[in-house]
Amino acid sequence: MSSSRVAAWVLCTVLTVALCRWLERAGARAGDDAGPWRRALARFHHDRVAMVALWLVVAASMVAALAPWLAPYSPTATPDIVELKNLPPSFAHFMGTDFASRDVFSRLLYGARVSLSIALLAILLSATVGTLYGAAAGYYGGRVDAVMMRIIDAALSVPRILLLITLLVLWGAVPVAALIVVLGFTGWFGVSRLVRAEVLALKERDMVVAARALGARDRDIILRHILPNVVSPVVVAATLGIANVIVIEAGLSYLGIGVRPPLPSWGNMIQDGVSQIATVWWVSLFPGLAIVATVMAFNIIGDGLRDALDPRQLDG
Amino acid sequence: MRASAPVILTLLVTITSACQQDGPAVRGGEDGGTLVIASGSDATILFPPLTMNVTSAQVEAQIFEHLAEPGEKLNMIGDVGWEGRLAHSWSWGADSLSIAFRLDSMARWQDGPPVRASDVVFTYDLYTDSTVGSLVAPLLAEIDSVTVRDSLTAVFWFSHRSPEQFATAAFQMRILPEHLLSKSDRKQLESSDFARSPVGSGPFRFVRWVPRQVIELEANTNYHLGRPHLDRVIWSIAPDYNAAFMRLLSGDADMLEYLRPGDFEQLSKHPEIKTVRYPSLIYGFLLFNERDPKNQKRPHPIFANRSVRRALTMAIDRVQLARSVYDTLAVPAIGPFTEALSTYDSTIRQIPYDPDSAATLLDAAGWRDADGDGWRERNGVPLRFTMIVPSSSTPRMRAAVIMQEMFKKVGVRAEIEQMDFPTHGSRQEARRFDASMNTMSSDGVPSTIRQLWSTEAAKEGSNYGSYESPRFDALVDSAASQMDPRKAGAYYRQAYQLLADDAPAIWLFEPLSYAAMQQRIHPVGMRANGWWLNLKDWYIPQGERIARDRVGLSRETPAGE
Amino acid sequence: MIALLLRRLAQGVVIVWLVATLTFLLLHLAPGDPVSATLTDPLTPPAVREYWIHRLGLDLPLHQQYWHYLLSIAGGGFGFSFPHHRPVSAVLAEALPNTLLLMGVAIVLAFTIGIVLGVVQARRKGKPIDWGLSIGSLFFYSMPDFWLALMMLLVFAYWLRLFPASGMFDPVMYGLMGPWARAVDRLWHLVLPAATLALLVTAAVARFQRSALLEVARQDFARTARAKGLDERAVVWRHSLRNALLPVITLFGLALPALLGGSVFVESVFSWPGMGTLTVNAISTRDYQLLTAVVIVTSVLVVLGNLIADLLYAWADPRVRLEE
Repeated sequence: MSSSRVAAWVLCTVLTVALCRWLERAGARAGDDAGPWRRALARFHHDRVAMVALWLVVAASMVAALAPWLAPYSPTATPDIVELKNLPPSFAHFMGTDFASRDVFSRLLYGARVSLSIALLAILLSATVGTLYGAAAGYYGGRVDAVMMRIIDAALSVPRILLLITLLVLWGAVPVAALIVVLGFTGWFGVSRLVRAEVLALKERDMVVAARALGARDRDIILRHILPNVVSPVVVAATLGIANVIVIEAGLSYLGIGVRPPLPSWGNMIQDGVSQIATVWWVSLFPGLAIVATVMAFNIIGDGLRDALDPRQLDG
Repeated sequence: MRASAPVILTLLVTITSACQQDGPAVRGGEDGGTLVIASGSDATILFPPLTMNVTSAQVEAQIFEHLAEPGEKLNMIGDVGWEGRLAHSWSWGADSLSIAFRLDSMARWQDGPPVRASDVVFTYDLYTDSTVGSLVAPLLAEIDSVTVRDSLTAVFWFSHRSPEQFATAAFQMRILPEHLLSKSDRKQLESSDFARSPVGSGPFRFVRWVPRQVIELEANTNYHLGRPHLDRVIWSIAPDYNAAFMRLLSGDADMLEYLRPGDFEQLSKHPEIKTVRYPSLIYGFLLFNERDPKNQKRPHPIFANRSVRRALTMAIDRVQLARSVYDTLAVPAIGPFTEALSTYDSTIRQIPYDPDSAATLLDAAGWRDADGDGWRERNGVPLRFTMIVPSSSTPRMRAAVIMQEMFKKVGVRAEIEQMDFPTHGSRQEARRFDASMNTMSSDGVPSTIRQLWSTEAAKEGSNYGSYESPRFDALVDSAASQMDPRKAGAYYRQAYQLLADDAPAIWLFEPLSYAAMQQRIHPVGMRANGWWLNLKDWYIPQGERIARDRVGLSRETPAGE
Repeated sequence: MIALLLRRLAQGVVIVWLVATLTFLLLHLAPGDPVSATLTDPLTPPAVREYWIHRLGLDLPLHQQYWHYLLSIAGGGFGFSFPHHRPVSAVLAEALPNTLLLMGVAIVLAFTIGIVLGVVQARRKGKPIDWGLSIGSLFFYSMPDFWLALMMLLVFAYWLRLFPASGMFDPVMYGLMGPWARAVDRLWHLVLPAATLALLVTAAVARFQRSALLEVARQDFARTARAKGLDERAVVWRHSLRNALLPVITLFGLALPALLGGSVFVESVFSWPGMGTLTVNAISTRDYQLLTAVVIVTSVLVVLGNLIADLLYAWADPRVRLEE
């Protein structure tokens, strides 16, 4: 192990620990006058499961960011395709090697980078579009809502995976940027529906009714009274969404239309091993575990945030 | 599921399996048993003129018959070694412009009536009727007409002599029953009841077809050449390879026609399952496009240069590649053919694996790494190209990834573009690619090489890489017109050598085909052009039978779902 | 109410038309066509190709193809599938019931079990059982569906050999069975794919139901009810559950397409001869007619499902009336 890689691992660990500690302490210190996010962290602080999940996500992000310095081997190099292929886990390759003698562990680290950034970017796109669309539809109601919701109905009436498969298959393999856009723009319909349902309910709330009676402008009502109150469902939906996108990417790669090789993503790594899963199990197992662990962590954080972020709960 | 399905199967010349030759069973004593085949795809139709699917071809081959089949010895020039099926004998006209086939007088349609010469005439008429749209029609062009001499003799007339005329007459068409089809609307044949519950004269008769689930055939006990040994043959359809493999391992199925390299390790834990090798006509190659994909009129900036193509070939260690992708299940290919082809020649001189010479050649062609970044360029243009690869094919995908690294070692940047199978096909057809990972299943006829590499096929046909060599064209023309197999072989040899030297593609591997089956199944005569062609001779010994082998024949077969 | 229903149905027709048109455009803008995708052998004579392209009308101008396409949909025939050599309606008629059976069983299982689990968890929030069930449902929720299907196949069909690996019935013995044995055989084959699909959805329903109940529990009326001295059980069952059903109803609308999507993977792993496997097939053979029909039928199913969800929504929450 070269000294620079040791240094990178130390750095990665230190950064992870520091960041998580800082978050924990920020939560612990939060007083009554703290903002909602700070207070959310405070509640988080008491939830041990959520804390573990948070550590996991932070660590995964650090690994993703530092992958080139952490990985012991190149993720794409094929040093000896006959002698070094399909090696079981050992000291030299502790997650084994795949069919092309590539180091599974190194690919997993790079795969974190690819899978996480795809999911994150796609979900940012979906959440933004979905929230704005849903809020507008729910708030304005009537005809506007009807038209906007018919469009959503049409979009939602075709299963996302069917839509994605059709798009990706018809246009062949697309670059990662296009994959993100496609994933992002096929993922916001659900969010907008949830937001709209929430807004419909919120609209009947006293404060909104009161604000409207007092002659407040639509924009102010949406920004001040509606949007802050839909943050929690959107955050929850976005967290589930990240999880979902990671899973969908894996599914697309299972069908051979996801991230293009030799670039490793957790999805196409599983696919690399599916055809011989009973014998060369390590090729598919480790990325599969990485997916389940990461997706679970995101879901737990989403739950934690739901419990924590909701301001209504604090006075209860 | 195999990526490139041999579609026009009927023209094939047969090669006997040298690998698994069980002794012939004692007739009568070994009759009985059920064979369940785990199949990767459903049939689409059971009507030979319109078939373009492997499973359909497998089933039809049991229900319908050719006039004759090529025998053990590989021969397609003339009729040497051919064995009668529906026809028990034949005689040539004095001028060799006609062949009279004498039908077996015992032959009966499965619903009773005898097979007559008029059925043969009807079949020819139907195959060549343009409203039917048969894939085979263009291949029958050299037949002038078919006439009835007497009720059991059909005569094929030809406008000119050709080496393959006997094969064309005997082997292109599966004979159809006139009495069941004469009243059908020819345009509606493909959606007719007959096309989904066929009646033929072959060794097995149709029982039921539940789409995407099961196709069942039962022994035709009145078969004119003696009943087949097996009572029943069932195709158990699983569209997913893993599911098909599971059916085999769990014992629900008796046979899987195709194994992937990784499966052998798993099978070694299943002593009840054996693997059987059979000859194959499939080979893989990386095809170079010698024309600029952006403008067909211009030569390709990289691949138009013969010595660059040769250099790229030298950069690939084909022995290691084949081993890595297929383990011991493939050998390096040496040209556009496999060992099972009649004109195979193992002495074709190959371009060696030699990265140093590759580098020298590329330097000489002006592709140098001037800026020291590890990649070659010429006049500021990097030596970079894209390989299109169908994502459905794991071996091709893997080979592409490995070749990418091998090219990298000589400073060539090869990128991979994955796409689904139809897109890959249409990109090739449109000539929109630099290099393409391809596999081809030869139809067993040496002269079809013309349709893939000749100048004529570069413009309109299937010579997607636009390799053009007048010398090659002349050699193949000479070869294809020889009536003497030896002389034809000598010309083919020269043509193959030319293809090896000119490197219009890097010949990669020849996968060896293995089927897996339960120990109790005894296959006989698996052929390169179809392991299923002699299914009537397969048997299951009395002592090894299991419950489903003892079901026996049912006079009343259960109706379909 | 009837007028409303009719209006909703008319809207449904518009949605389906939108979907149909977009699908048509998507398919025809993309490279590849059904003839060259089916006639994969490069040795196929060009004349044969051209014959079929002409016979299928693929050489017509796009607007004429579109017109023929709309007519065939309106007639319910959906045209002719070239790779299947049959009318599309015949192919669909075989596949649709199989998928509906699979989904119906999965939905009933998933929503019954999921809602019960959600209620149990909400009532015992923070207790070990809540914690355990949360982790359990998260675990399944976090799995790629094809992965879960593959694992189920490996474990139950291959290692334990408890259930058949694939198909809808035993291909060999089914024809020889009596009616009872046939029913059992079919049920036996249904277990793994239905359980896989149900597991994926149950996890989602339980998660959703739990948090919805907890959300509602904080709301004013629940507190009022509690303040009135009703015991916790009555608060949950009588007041909260009805309100907490709102998001679950939304989920029902959302779950339909997810189920249909999940069935693509589940069906293909278990070789279930339904719409999912048909779709994968239709895509790889560029079967325009079949693919558009699948998409349209799917969207019709979802539109109907949403209509039901909307009606339920109006029933459950008096404050939200359809279209005000």
